[in-house]
Amino acid sequence: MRSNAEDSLTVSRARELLSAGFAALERRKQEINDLNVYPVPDGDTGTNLALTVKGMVESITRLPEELPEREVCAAISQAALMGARGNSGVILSQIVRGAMEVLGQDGPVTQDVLTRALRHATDTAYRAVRKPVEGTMLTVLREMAEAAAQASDAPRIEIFLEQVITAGWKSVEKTPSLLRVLADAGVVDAGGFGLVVLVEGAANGRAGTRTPIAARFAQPVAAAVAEEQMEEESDFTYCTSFLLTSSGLDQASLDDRLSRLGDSLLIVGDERQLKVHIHTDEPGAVLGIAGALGALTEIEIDNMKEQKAARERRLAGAAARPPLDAGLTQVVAVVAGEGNKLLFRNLGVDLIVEGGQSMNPSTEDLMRAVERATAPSVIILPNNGNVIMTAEQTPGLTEREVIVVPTRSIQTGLSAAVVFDKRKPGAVNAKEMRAAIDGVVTAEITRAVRGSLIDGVQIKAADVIGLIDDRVVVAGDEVEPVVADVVGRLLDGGRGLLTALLGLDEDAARAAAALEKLRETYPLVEIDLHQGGQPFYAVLLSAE
Amino acid sequence: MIIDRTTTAIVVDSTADLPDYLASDPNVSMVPLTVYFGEEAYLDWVELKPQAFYERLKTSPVLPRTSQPSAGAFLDCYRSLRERYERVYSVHLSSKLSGTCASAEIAQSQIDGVRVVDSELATGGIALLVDRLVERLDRGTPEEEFDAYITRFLAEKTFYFLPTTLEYLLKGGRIGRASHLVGTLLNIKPVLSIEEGVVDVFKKVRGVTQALQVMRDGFVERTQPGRTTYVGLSHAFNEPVLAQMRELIEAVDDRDVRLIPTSIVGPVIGAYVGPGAVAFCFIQE
Repeated sequence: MRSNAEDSLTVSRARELLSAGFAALERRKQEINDLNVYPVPDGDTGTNLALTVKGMVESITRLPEELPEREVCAAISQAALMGARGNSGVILSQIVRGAMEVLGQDGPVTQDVLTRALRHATDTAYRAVRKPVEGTMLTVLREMAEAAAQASDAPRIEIFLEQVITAGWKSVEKTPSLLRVLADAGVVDAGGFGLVVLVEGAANGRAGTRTPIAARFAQPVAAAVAEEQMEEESDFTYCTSFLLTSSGLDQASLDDRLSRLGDSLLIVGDERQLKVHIHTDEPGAVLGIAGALGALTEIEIDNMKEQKAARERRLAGAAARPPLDAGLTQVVAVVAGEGNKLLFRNLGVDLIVEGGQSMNPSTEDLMRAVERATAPSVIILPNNGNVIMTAEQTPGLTEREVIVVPTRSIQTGLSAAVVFDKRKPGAVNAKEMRAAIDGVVTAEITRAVRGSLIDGVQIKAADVIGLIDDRVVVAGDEVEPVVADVVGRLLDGGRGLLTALLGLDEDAARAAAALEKLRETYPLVEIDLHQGGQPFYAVLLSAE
Repeated sequence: MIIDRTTTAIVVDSTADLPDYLASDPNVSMVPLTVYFGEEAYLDWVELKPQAFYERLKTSPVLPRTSQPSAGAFLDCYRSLRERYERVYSVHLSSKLSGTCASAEIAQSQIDGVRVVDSELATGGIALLVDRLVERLDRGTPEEEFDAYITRFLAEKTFYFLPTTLEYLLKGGRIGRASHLVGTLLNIKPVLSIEEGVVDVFKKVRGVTQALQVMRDGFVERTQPGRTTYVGLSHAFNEPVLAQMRELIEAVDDRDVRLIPTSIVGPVIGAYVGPGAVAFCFIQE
């Protein structure tokens, strides 16, 4: 054991490190979001990672100061899992779990222990991903673990950390050479980038430590000051959170106005959408200020004092379960857009979690819905490629049977929900749903958020683009020809039913007009138009 | 005893929706149910033909109601047939959907030589059974064999139907195990079946094309190559879908398909399935 041993991982130290890591992620979130491979609004990696870590910070804030190391680590693991959002968040939660399993063993945190923690985190994360892909955050993590092994006899822990983090940045820089889609889009891997930001931020959170940032990614970085407010016990009664959607949102000014109304204020997102969280005694005033700026959704106001009392009652076994519904199966669906929600409800889906593109729900959000179910089996329809892994965390967290039918879009989710029959057991429903989505082809029409060469299609920023099964197939200046092109491809092969879910923006109206015209071109095809109300996508299409 | 044209008559109720060649068959008689629009009563198929019924359905402010024939009506029919025939087979609408069988059974208990058969079916399904029975009359069939065929038909037949709307089934209360059906916004087309005489959901799909495909797949699954399969199609004035259905069935490889003439879904059944419904029944010989 070297003399540079750190103290063991106490609550206050863990809080310090995580808060610093979180602050770093929060600062560079937009940069990470901008690394999307697809030039479409996507399940934003930066936001997802930041929210996942935020969940960890918040949970640790609630821990008693004198908790043994082992329990601190277990609590962090659990918080990471419950707060995990998006695929990157889920992978991060597995990385955290692996690391905490090593760090939770007694004894001081030495370079050797950190090396083993990174090694075990790597193994855990690779195992968690069904088909590990190189050039992602997995590669970055593995190469940091390898660098740690080589540097484990470094004379000082600062040098050790510096070498690990430098290796991380080098690995990030290398990701485009490992993954073609990154090279084509001219970006590095967002998850890997976020991981190094987090590790570096946490390392900087150690008092007096500063590690250099690799030249290419160097940015003027303010001192990594943990957000002290988050560490305070709240004196306020109402935990209030909501999603604010508008355009040109000014995060700083909102922050300024809301910070006078409470504490634990956290605002994440971008100029289109902000997730706001605050502890306050005046939830009405908070909503008033925010409501004047845009549309509010996912409003949650919890009485924390009441919650605490309720939790105590529940633990005492006093809470009665709701009566069992006659059905054998209930469905949880992740849906964006009021029209789309109505369609799901109309098919008997009664547990709906708000979310989708750019706002991926956490494992905890899904668990809350699962726990509202009264049927013995629950099927989750993630309806987004970036939510599937989050959903797959839930079956291990409850005694109820939870089956994930991995729907990658709202459209396939609807096709699955069509065959839902609550009288049948979960496994039967899941089987029929999988059969129903087999052969459904989906497409989206949206605007490119930046120029790119992707899937062999040259795209300019603000182009109308058409994607089929998540790949760009066409781009252009006008909505109509792009819609016609995409529909032509979808109907190739004799598909007889085209479903269109119209979004909120102006393009949706043009897309609807284009689809009406196409009825003449395809007289034998049933074209079924609905108001979906989803953001970002002018129209979501599916053919079957 | 040999069941043939000289010894045996067949009775149906009007919900068999017999095509002309069966309706005019000298050995086949029909006892009508009654359809009411408000206070106005019409004998199904006799006083109200399908065409006029669906016209009326479109404009009627009230939904039609229906009622089974009286036991007396059956008894009159049986008595007159028994003067000429030794044996009467009386084949009816599923007893789970209507009291028609019950009326027939009361009549049967008051006379010899009548056997009431609960077809557990409706419309073209009953017509298909009658078609198969009439063929056996033509060739003359020992009674045991004739009875055994009826038993096998009831056990092995498949009946699917595709309403264009669930409105009438829901309002008419004849939806049975399909009553939990949800989904009215997404062009949901439930392919319904009659199982053990009760309406059930075979599969829920979207759009007519998929619904027809589901019925075709059910046909392929439940028939074997090389064997003769008799198929009855009926429709409530929906020629285009009927034509597609016919085409799909005839295109199935390696099946010896015998389509019997198509029947029209009459007023009583039409009151519950609504205009545009298509029904498909088949039995392997």
